Amino acid sequence: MSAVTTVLPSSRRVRLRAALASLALALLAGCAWIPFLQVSRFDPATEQNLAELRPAVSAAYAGFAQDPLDTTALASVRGRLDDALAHERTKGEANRRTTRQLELILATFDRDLASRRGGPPWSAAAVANARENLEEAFDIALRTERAKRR
Amino acid sequence: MAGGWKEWLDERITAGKKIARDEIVDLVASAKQDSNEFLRRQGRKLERYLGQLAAGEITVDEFKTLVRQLRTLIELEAEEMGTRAAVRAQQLAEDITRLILGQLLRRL
Repeated sequence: MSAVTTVLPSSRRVRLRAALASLALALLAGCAWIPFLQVSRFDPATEQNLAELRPAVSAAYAGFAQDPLDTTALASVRGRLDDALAHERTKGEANRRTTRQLELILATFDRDLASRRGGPPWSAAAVANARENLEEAFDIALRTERAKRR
Repeated sequence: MAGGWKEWLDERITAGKKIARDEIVDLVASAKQDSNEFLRRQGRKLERYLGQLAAGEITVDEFKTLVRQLRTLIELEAEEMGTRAAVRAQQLAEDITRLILGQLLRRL
């Protein structure tokens, strides 16, 4: 900077300092926004999606004991899961946990449905256990979302 | 049938693989005694599934599906746990993969 101050006329020095100060302020302001942007905010739409999908997915698993499968009802639940996941993905990296949770739930649903399609109707015990597990998965996701209120 | 699954395991895991049988019994016992309620619950569920499989109430394919669901649940919850519990959850998930989905299901 000393070389600059000796070579440049005073008016240009002032303009250079102003430009450097503006740049520093812009950088500081930019950095200050990063943590703010990465905080995931509570989303009532997400809470509603999860709360409504919990019984819907559980009911879909109850249908795994039936033969034939109600493919229309299953496709509808699958579509709602897809829509809910698409909504989470719009919220970016800060919402990574909820997005990941829904990805895991959707992958489980797809895997189990494929398994059921390739085999006989599930036993009553298997259906009861699976419903318990999926309901617990939604409970975990709901707890994650509600914790964002704090 | 909750207690009968150990004898059922004995019939399926030969003496040469006794270690695997003991490891599965230890896995269930250790999960059921964990200080974290979530992990204890998964241990109780795993024991229930083994009992139902031994009693013929669920098929091998259904058992596999349920154990995979347990592993997914542990993965979901581990993100929300404190560091120590998360490490135990990770260990439980790995043990389920190795002992139940790997060694046990290969013999059924």
